[in-house]
Amino acid sequence: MPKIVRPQQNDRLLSLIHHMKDIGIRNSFYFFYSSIIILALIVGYFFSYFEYLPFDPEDLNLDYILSPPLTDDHLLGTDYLGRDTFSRLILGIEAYLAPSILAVIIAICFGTLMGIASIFSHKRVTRTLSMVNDSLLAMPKLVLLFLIIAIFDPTIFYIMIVIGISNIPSVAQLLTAKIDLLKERSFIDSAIASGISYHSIILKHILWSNCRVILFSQSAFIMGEAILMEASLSYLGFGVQEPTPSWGNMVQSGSNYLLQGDLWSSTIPAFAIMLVISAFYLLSYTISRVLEKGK
Amino acid sequence: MINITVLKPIASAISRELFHSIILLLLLSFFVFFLLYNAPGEEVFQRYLESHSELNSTDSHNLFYIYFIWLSACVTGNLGTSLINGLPVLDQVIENLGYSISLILHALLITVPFVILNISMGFKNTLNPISTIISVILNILAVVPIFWLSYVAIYISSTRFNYLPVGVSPDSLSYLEMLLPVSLLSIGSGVLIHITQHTKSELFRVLKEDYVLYARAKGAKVYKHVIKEGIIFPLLHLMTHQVAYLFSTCIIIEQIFNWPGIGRLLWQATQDRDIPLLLGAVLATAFIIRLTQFCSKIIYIILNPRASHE
Repeated sequence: MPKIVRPQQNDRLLSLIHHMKDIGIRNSFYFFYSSIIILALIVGYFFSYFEYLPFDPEDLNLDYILSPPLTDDHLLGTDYLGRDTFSRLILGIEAYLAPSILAVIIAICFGTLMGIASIFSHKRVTRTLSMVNDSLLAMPKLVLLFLIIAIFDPTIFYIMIVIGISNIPSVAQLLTAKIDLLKERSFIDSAIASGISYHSIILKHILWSNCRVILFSQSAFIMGEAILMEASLSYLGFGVQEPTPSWGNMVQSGSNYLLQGDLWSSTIPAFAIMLVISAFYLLSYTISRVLEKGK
Repeated sequence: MINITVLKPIASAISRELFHSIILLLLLSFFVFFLLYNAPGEEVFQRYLESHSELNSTDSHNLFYIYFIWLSACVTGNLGTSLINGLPVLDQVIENLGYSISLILHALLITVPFVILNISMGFKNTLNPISTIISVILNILAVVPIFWLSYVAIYISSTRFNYLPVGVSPDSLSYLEMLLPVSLLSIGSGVLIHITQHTKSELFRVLKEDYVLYARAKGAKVYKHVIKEGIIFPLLHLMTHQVAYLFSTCIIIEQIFNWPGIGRLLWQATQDRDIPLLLGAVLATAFIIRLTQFCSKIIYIILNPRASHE
């Protein structure tokens, strides 16, 4: 019986469980950790969307002010007005999840366009685009957001659009550096010689088969950064405003009581932020390690 | 006797960088002014024009005309007066900028001993358990939201150990007062772990190069050949790229420690919708960041004249 030679699987992410040995214990642990956290995030989002919460998140209960976790029915304790922390934590997912996906889409789409445009166009266009990139990089992200907030007084979706725009240069620079190396390689020449259209060379040969690692890992990274940015803005008082919960303003309201020794009401949302952001960062790290190894 | 042939490409590279920076700042100032010009409801822009001493007499509504007058006022140092307290913006910005720069500079300098420690640990044994544990802890601390981390640090240091001052008086800054904000800015923003790890990996990449092998073979001291490309250049590059990020993080740190820097100024101006002050602070921040990038590029070109050809 002839031995069946299987084509080598390029997409290692899909068959990750079967390739534990190839990937290494550490990377697979990172992947499982981040996928569990992200899954919990999505489940929490649907719970808050259908308002299936253990307590009313805006219901004051003065008998349970600043109680630690596991007091009676309150799983994660209560805040300074006796509101249930667990319900507010779940409802707080709504404040950033959908908007930060918008930020990721904007950063990746326009960053890809800019990266391709700066390689395959005239020298002057390239120079202008790198100028625009550099001028965006010279502006700290939070400072740019402050400017936008003071002038336009935007909602969270517009803030996330600005975060997406401020992340365009990093994506564009990474792509430009990668494509600069790729276009010298002979497989591009042979693709042009065999009559494949430029569209499919750029989309298929360059972007999908060689640059998707960068795009995937960058999108996970930008997601984490957008969540951190939203939390920072809410902490500083410019994001989601008080009765509506957001993890940033939960930390902020709890931190007034932290110096008195009531640690829990600010520690729990801070830990939630830490878990989610580290999940996205580690996902970005794992994607770049695992998929790059397949090459 | 200075050799002219060596200096000429360096001078041309410096002038090119200067031109590049000026164009960039012009682009950025136009972008900022364009945002303000398009502010919803007309009155924001109108109020800004009335507060500015050189713009309140113009009748024109042409964007480029007003921008040109505004720019020439900016270049001469007239950034307008604050809407809230009526003081000139430039004085407030310069006064506050010094505190922020000292904070950021110390946060960057604090990484240098860590870099040296990390490299010296790595030379003996690549899988050192102590350095692994330290790097894991620092990585976790970098992901913890910095506002919570600072409160916990204040709580632990002031109420439990009772040895660090919490409030900072701007007139007499001692190193003991700066220790907590600087170390938090460096560790909590992740700059410390980023710089130490990347410098080490860069150094180990350089150590595998052929010229190092050649230096080893002829019996020369390796560190003399490696120190420039392996340590100084990556440190310079990484530090200047972190400055913009550190300015972002600075806003939160200054807010918590009542540090009278540019971050607090920005926060207060945003809270009050004090557009002239905010605009001045934003432009000053962008100017400082561009200046650091320019300086690092010039240092790089002087140390490595090959880079001037580009």
